[in-house]
Amino acid sequence: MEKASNKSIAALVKATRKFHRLQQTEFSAILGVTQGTISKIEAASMGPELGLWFKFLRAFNIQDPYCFTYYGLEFDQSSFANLESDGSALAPNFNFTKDNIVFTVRTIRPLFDFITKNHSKAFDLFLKENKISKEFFFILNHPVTSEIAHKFFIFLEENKITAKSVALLDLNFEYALGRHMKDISSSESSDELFTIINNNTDSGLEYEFSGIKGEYFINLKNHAKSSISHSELIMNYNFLYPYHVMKSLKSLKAKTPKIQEVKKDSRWHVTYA
Amino acid sequence: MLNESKIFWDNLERIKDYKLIDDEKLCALLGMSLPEFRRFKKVRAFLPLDAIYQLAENYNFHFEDLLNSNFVLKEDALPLMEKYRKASYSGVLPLRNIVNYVEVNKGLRAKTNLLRKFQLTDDFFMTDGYKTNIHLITDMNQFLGRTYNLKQEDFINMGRRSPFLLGASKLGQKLSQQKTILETVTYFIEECTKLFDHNNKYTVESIRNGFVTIADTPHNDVLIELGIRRHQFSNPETCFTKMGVISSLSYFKQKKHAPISKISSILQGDPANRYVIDLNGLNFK
Repeated sequence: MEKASNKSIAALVKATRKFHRLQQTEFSAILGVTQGTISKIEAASMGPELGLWFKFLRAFNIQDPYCFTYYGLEFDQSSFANLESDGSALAPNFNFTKDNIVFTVRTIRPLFDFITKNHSKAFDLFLKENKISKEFFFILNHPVTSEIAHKFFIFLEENKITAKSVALLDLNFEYALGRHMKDISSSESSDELFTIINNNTDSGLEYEFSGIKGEYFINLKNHAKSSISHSELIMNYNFLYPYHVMKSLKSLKAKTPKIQEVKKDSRWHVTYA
Repeated sequence: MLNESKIFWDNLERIKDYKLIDDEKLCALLGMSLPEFRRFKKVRAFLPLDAIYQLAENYNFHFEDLLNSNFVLKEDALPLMEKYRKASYSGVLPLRNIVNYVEVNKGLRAKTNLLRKFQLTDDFFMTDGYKTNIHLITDMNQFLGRTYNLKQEDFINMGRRSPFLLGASKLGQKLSQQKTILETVTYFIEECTKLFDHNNKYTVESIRNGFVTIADTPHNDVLIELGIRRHQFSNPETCFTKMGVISSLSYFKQKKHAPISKISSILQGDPANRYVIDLNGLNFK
């Protein structure tokens, strides 16, 4: 019987193997098990033994042993050292130069989770057309290029997720923020919540709690201009990130948020209550 | 694998004995049905990861420790495992630096993993009155070094979290209020260290041309109480965090860390650890 954790582990093991361009035989040899064992794990028909799980984590520099609880993992940064020269096995048609990277998968993971639930057929086609593996979205700190981001958000618009309607989405941050969600839901102060969000986003935006409930500011760091300037949808999604996190915690009953530019190209004000 | 399986099931039995629970209660904590659990038990197969995780969360331990033949569950009423209660002369301040560094640099998940590994909760670090022995600090540093492949500079940076954590506290204010960096250093070493570290004696050995030499010697009675020798008292990682704390003293006055080096080590058979901080790049007088 397929258990929930087996499905998650299957996805993460396969993502790791494909990212490292390994066949099951090579992968199983690294872990000292049979190819049949890996095949069963990737099919979610069995989970790894405890010792094998930790062997897997150590072999591939995955630092959080609890990653199977939130369907996402992070590699040590050294795993991405050759991305610029060799590209990514999970998105081989895209160039991963430093100037080209806008954020990591974590930023758009809530949208991926929403799309796979609500537009899965269309999204599978999108992935196939662009030669992006689904496993790309399970590696939370995998860099995302401006080209991938652009195509992804165009896909959203084609499926009626627009700059205006993105505020109305019910997004789930359980997989994007993982075990942090426990801490976020138990945090008593908005300061703490915004600190956690800032420490776990990488879009080049700094979210600043104003001190008054129902509003916050966004400060744009210079290098982030390119990440959000492609489209109003990308901009709105990133600007409303804390709003969406709070909505997902059901910690607010919000009116449709309003975004106002306070200082040209560098500071915005969001109000939602 | 056979041996790991035995250790795993022995640990489950140990948990049952300690918590006075039967298989049925254990299954409830694992989130499994009794028949399913017994199928696994019969062949000594590992339980599913999510079941193990659920048990570990219930009892606040790191689930990897079910593969540890020395695994011991902490007593509920006490804040620390037995290993860390004997000869407990360290305050929580050094540990706060470590945990804060992990949280800031590796994230909340890493911090949670660290707390689970040592069966600690956040409450422990919020309570000034709690004490532990040197082993908790050295074991934590060793675990982090191994888990995250941390280098000397990382441990020094751990110690350098001090000004950020002490900042608004009475101690932090007193350090900031000293007239000069030199006074901050001497005041901290001679007056403040004994507030949170009774394991060692710290002295300013010399001040010469902007270089301050500090000696740190473990108390013999602590060694005797712990039943260890001098060279077993600490580890390189913990020494580096101490160096970080000392080098951060200048930060209270000038928002800069002073370069620091170690010139003798009890781990190498010297009678004391000696550190030299270089205040020459700072306005220290």
